[in-house]
Amino acid sequence: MIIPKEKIEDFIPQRPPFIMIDNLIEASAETFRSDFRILPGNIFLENDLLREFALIENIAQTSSAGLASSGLFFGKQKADGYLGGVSKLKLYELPKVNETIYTIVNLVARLENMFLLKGVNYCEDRKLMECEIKLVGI
Amino acid sequence: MTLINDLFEIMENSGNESSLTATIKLHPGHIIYKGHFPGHPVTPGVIQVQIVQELLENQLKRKLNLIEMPDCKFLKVLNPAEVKQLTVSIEYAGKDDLLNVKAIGKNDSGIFFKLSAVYHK
Repeated sequence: MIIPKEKIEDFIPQRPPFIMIDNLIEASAETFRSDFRILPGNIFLENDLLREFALIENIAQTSSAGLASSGLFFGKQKADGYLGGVSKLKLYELPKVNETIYTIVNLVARLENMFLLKGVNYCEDRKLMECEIKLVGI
Repeated sequence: MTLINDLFEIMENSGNESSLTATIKLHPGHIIYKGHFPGHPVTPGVIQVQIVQELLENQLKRKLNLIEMPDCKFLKVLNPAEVKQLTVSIEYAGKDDLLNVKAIGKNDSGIFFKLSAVYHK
């Protein structure tokens, strides 16, 4: 465990009810992995399914926490920046309330303060969504 | 979480069978701004994508399901306390049960977002 749920707020700027990550499980130079349990009060639930907006946000927050914890965000411990874009998104399935999703993010490219990352969300062995995101550090 | 009439409201709306233009007002008191970010509200990019879908659903009077989003760019920070009104222009074309969509959100100060997406009708 790289960052437990209790410490995640030290590494990302979002706060409840907008936190869409629990634990950062792995953060190597190019790969970040996280988990996230979908609690009944999640603001992105609709008819007991977690909407895709939470999955995108989960990939972005996994990326921010991973970059911050590995010192890639200019050595700052906390990621400060914004989501510059989302592309190549494919949605396969939405997860249900009380399920736990697992997310793998790979750092594809970096140009100064811009990061291109590719993320995939899974629930057990089902692929839920994949996309690329662009994070811009400030 | 439905955003229409809660995070935003429609001030003006016009459209035809292949496009719509809506001028919306954002509500900076919405609960998501407590977390994004405390004391410094910024409308999250994913919420801007959800606004587009809800405007389209409102126009078509049916639910849509996202399948793909080939591209989406967030070009300016959207602060709901400063940006009083936002104009969202959406073009759409259907083929079978799919809907291809392009949308732009802007105001006098410039473009906030541009996106292309495919929904299942």
